[in-house]
This record gives sequence, C-alpha cells and structure tokens, in this order.
Amino acid sequence: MKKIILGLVILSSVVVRANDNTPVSEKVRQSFEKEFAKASDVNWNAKGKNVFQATFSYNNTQVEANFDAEGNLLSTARLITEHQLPVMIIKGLTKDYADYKIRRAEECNSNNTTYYVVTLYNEQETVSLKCFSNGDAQRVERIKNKI
Amino acid sequence: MKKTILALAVMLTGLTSAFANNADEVNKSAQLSFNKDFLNAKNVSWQQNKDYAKATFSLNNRVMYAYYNPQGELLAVVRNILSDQLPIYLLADIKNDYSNYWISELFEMATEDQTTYYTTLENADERLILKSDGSNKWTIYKKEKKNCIVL
Repeated sequence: MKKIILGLVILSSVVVRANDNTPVSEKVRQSFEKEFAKASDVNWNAKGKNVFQATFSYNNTQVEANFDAEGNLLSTARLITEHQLPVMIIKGLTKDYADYKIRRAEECNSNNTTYYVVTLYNEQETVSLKCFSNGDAQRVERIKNKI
Repeated sequence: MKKTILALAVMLTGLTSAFANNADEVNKSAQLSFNKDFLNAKNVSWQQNKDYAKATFSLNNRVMYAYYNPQGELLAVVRNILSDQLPIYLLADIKNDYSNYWISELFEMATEDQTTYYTTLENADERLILKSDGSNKWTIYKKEKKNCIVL
C-alpha cells in the first residue's frame, strides 16, 4: 500500500513538472533573458518545429519575440501609441491621411529592418499601411466600411 | 549634409548659435515649404540664422523643430522623446548595457533619408553621447569624464 501511495506521489509530481515545462530549450531561454533582461509575464509558444515565440511585458508594453532553436532572435513586434511612431511617419500621416484616425500601430523588426504597421480609419474606409522611419509608406490593405 | 546634421546635433545639446527672431527676416521659401509639410502645425515660431531657418511648433500636442536650408528644403525634423519612444532594440540596449547610467537627454533627428537617435547618458563619473546606428544598435558618439572636485 505504501509503495502504491509513494508511486502516486512521484507520478503526480512528474505530471506537475510536465505541465510547467515550456517548449523552449535553455539556449533559447538564455538568449531571451540576455536580450530582454527586465521582461515580465513571459509566455512561450512553439510555432512549428524551429520557431519559439515569447509574449511578454516590457517597459509597460506588450511584445512578441520569435527565436529559432539556436536562440537567434528572428523578429519582434509590439503595440505602440501614435506618439511612439517616428516623427517622419507622423508627418506623412498628418499630411496624407489628415481626415483619418489611427486605430492601431505596431512596431515590427525582422531581418534587422524596423517598420511600422499602422491601421487608420475614417467614415468611408479602413486602411493598413506599412511605414518606414523615413516616412515612406506602402498601403497593404484597404477595406470599405459597411454601411 | 552630414556636417549640417552634426551641427544641428551640437546645437541641440546647448551650443546655440545666433538667431534672428524677426518674422520678416525668416526665409520665405522655408515658410512656404513648412506650410506644405506640416498642415496641422500649431504655435509656430521661427528663428533664422545665416545657414538655416528653424521652425518651432507643436504637432499632435508634441513640440518639435523643423530646419530648412535657404532653398526651402527640409533638412531635418527634431523632437525630444522619452525612452519608450525608442525602437525596442535601442531601448533594450540601454537597459542591458547602460543600466548604471541615467538618461539626461534623448532626441530623435529625422531626415528624408534616415532617422537617428541621440542620447546623453550620465553617471557619477562620466557622460556618454550615443548615436543610433540604424534602429538596432548604438555607437558611442562622445565620451567624457566629469570633473572631480576634491574637498
């Protein structure tokens, strides 16, 4: 009987530990901690076999960072406010989209390039732009609002 | 162009050159360009020196500065920012590598070609000026020891 109870205790501790495991290697975790030392509320997800995504809070903003199995940082994305957009993007938007309002802005970085995805709307439509810090912008989506 | 931008950077760190503040003396081409570039600008004021005209204004409730050459071409737009307005890698670099410094100045300088960030970091012993290299890393632009006073 004692052996059975002991076996159950050991089994349950293994199950708890298995549930605590995140799908990332120590290498990836260390790379993350080196890059974002003061991150909090970190959650990990495996995206396929070789990409691991950390979602976390950093400097009061929500960030996603993707790492490969070797711990290399592949890309990041974070939600930002209008005031966090580079000034040339603000200049371009206030000039070319004067009657639109910003619904969402995201700072993205991949392949050592930073760009910003900005979604704007007015009474007629919603527009998504891919913007660069020098103010260049490409429209990636345009949706007419339903009446 | 590089020299002009560096000169602007120096100027922003406090070595302000002589400006004329009379609106009549401000380059008209610069004013025309500004009115096209910043349609919603408010509280605009101008300063003029022999090399460029400087507009101080607010856009979306944020104060910024635009510099124009005598031909009315926009040289740079500059604004003071908070650290959370830095691209995330630049912010992370400061947090990771300069955690024993405080930020005493941080501004964004944007041209038609690129955006550059400058920050002055200080601790008890020294003062560093960092310049961003792209949006992913910093280079040391200037480093100086603070003067010690021995009592």
